[in-house]
Amino acid sequence: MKARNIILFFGFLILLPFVSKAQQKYEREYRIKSEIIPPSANAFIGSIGSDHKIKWYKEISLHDVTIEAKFKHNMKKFSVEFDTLGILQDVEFIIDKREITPVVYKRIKHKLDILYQKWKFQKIQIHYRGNPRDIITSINKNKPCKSIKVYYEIVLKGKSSGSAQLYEITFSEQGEIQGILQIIQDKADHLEY
Amino acid sequence: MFIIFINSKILCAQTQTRAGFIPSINYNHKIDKVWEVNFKFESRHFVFDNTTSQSGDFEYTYSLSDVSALVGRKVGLNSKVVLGILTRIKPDALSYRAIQQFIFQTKIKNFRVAHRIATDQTFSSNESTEIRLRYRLSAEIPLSGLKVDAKEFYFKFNTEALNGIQDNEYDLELRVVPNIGYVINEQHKIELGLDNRFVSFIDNQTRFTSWVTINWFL
Repeated sequence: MKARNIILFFGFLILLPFVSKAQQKYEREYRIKSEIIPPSANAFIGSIGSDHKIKWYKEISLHDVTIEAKFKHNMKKFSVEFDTLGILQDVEFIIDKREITPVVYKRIKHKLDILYQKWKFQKIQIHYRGNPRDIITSINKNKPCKSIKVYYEIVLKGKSSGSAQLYEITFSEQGEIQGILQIIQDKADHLEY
Repeated sequence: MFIIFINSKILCAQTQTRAGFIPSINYNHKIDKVWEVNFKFESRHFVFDNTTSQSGDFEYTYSLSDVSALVGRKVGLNSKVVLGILTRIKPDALSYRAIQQFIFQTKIKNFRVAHRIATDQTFSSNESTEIRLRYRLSAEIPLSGLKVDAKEFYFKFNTEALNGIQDNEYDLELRVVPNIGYVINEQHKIELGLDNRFVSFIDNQTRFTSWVTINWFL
């Protein structure tokens, strides 16, 4: 038990820069009409072949402005991001924790144990980045092509130093931490008081 | 509009009804990650009252003002415990209320929902102590986009059930409050609503009160 605590302590020291540098995430989304979507973005979404309704949003974050399509396909919730010219940025869809390779999942879990006293998954998304044609192939085969980059974007409730916060943590395909963002929660005083 | 006005006048004449307006200012301040304080001022004004036979039904009457100070402590990601005190100032009397609340938030699709379970005890020199147990559900529905942002409108719906005991008599009050809100900026929100209260549900003759509310959150 003591050895485990020592390992956790040193692990925490290694991961400390990620904890202390957790930047903040703020996003603002507006619904936009499909008529104003760049043709290349529309064409990419069409090639996925979803039977469900496509909802388009303009997303303003702390750093940039993007266009996002949200829809369901093969029982999964998809979110596809383009820049304002319609160039594909990435494709994300929600997965279950059991869909992560056991070795990678174990690595992710171990890192989260070090970072937080208590944590709980809120949402896990797999994130594809790369050539649009290879991404379409990966979606159709339900397995990522070797040519595309894969990340896991995990939203979780993490408790450290007494207070619980919401975080978005990006892991590489191998389960290494790529970045931590603290999600800014909207004020709710008008609902509470 | 004329028919609605006539119908509401007939309804008002049949049941014990009061109507008026409540402006309120609600200031919330985060002390740190965990603690926050909330100060609220509201005043009630009647413009219609058929519960007393002393005067005409349509008449402006100032009723009371409430001043409250609450301290909240976050106990989870979306939950907090709140304690505080409210002072009720009537033209001829003063009363005090101790307040204890547990609030937690959930999300249903794009709707933010807050649940408030509360107890309060009201003390005054000329009335017996009243103890209440209440549950309020508040839902916020964005009218554009996935969530409510600055310069956007939202719909807010509050409903609350209040169980009260005073002089060994139990009573139930129900409240239904639809609101239209607008987020001016990160700090300020303004809401216009209709606060409908059905008082004395059990045993006594039900009294209906409806207020136009104007809330300013800062």
